[in-house]
Amino acid sequence: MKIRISRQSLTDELFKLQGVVSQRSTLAILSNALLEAQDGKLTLHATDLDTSVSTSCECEILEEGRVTLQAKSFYDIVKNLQEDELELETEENHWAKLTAGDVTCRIVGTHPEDFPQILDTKDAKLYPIGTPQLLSMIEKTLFSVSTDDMRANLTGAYFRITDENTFLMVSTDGHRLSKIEVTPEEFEADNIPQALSDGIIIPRKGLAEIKRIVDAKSKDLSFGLVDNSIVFQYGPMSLSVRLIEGTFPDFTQVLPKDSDKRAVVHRDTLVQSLKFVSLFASPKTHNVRISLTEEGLELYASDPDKGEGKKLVPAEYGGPVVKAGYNYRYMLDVLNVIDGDEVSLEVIDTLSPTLLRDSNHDEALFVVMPMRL
Amino acid sequence: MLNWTQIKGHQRNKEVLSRALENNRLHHALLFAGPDGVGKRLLANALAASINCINRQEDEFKPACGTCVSCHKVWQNIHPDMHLVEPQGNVIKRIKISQIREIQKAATMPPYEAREQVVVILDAHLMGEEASNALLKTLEEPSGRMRMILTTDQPHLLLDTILSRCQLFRFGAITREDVSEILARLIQETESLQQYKGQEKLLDIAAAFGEGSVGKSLEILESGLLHERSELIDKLKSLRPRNPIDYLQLAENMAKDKEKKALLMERLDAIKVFLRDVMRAQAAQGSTQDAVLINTDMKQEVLRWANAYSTQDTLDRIDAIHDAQELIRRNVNPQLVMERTLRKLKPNQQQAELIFSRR
Repeated sequence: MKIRISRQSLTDELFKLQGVVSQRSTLAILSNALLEAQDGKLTLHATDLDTSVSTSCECEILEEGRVTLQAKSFYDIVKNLQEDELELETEENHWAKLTAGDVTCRIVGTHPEDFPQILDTKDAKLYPIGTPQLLSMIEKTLFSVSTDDMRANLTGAYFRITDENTFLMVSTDGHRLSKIEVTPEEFEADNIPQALSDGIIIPRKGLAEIKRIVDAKSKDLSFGLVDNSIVFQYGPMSLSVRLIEGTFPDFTQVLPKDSDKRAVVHRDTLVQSLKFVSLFASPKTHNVRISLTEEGLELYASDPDKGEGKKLVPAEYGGPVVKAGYNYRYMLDVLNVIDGDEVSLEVIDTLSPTLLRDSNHDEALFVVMPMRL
Repeated sequence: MLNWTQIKGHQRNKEVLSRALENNRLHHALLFAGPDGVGKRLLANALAASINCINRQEDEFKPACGTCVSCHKVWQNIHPDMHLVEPQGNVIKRIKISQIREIQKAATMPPYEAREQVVVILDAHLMGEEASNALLKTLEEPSGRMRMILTTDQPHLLLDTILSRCQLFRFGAITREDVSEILARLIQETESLQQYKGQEKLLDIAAAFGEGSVGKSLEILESGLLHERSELIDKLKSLRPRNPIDYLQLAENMAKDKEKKALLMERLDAIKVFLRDVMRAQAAQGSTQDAVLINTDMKQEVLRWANAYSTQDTLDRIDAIHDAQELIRRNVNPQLVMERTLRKLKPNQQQAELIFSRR
């Protein structure tokens, strides 16, 4: 391989790989990036086996070929060059020789065949998805994805294209559940792969990586299934996430029925009040008690070592008096991702799942299990 | 790394495994049980390579081609879908629960690029109870595309619950001819064993010493015990019947290096093997067939001893060595043990005369 390339564009592309390359891994090659010079452009790949990133940029190819180099150190080398253009050439022992102006260096490389196989996304059928929609779906479900490896099928978010051609994303850790269903702006309904309408599980780490890498302003984001991975593509960049095998539990049974005990509260006020009252919450249980009365929503927490605290939050509520205890952190997690100003809170009774949602938009809803008082 | 067909012995196991692959009915958990150094790990690797070899169709059996990308990665041990679990630790080797957790995590994912993920757990009996129990769940509900191969030389130490979930393959000893052939090849490849080049006879003896285990035979070669052997027997022979100083001195010599307990054990093993030859020679006396000896190069010496000692005497001596090894294993002072043992080993007046007499 022999190429001539602008330093700036190489630096930019290498930067995009940095989040994926892993330093600590049993497979040493995973800290490397694979560079492929072909068809007038340089394609760069990096993977930690669970998430893989590929990106490409223009370059002048003098000889096609491939090389794998240590991603972090190669990035540092290129970033710190003064020159605008550089030349990269592979040597016989798979090392790479870099020349730019007065600089020459030889960089350790490994056999390109040793690099894990790259997912072939060329012929994949891709569907457009709005970037803000995707990011919002991830934001609203990521926090309630389970971290318990023993229940592997909960360590990712469930994603499905429904019969009404909406995107559904659900996550739960057994104590709480988040569900969001969005209607895409434009979507062809035909030929959806069975797996997508049955639902897939995207692992937590992949979701976080998508959120980090995908630029909120980027347009023409599309996604599709290739083998066991979900692929997101925009521009030259493609990101693939290996899916979790298993079935997601039937969550519809957990969703509470409509309740007459529904209160509407101002979100910011509730957040502040919760934070304040939680100062009295037991550090072990994080329990804060909520009671709905005609006067409003009363928050109460007590701990033998701290004392007790109480605060009344104004709320629209017309139902009978009802009380329930919650882990306040679960409440805050939900309130933090709700966009609207007003939140509706539906308590059924002391032990049944409680529903939280934006009172004006019902595309997202959140369920929190109460604690025994 | 060896190809399937290059692995010696274990014909039956290879046959069963290849037929299972052929019918696409390979069990998801295999237990390779057999003595150390007979090729369990080699066969596990060859099987893993074969399962994922690109040049193999789904329902046929073919030894791994060794040239495709997949085989290359398996043999370099850099395949993303191969998980090797080895005991860790400097003093006490153990398979830790964290290693098993990683396997469990891998089991939730489909293979990255291979047909099937293959987990090889070496010395599976070194899993603690927690680790074993953690593995149970994955062994019981395997994901469709994961195979596990456990190897062990002490299957009785595994939990019953693990045993019952695995298909058992027993590995026996390899024939003496096969071992010496393998040794000859290894010597070509190993720098530190160059001194044995061209010494086929010694290799044959080492193979016999190893009792069908290449690993053990290699250890014998590396320890240099083969060279020392006749000297050791000579010293033993020349212990004077009525002179305690002789054996006290020899005991001191043999047990001198307190650090090298393993070496002392090996020396005792060598004496034991020699005495076994003596017994065999005694048993063959009067029969038309020659005794099958391990120390083939010391045949004359063996025959002389066979003549000098009664079978009971030989047995007593072997017992004495057994006792000594057991005591040393239990950390009794080696010199004391050796003094006591050598007193039992030394010939009496009559035996000494017979050993040195020319027949």
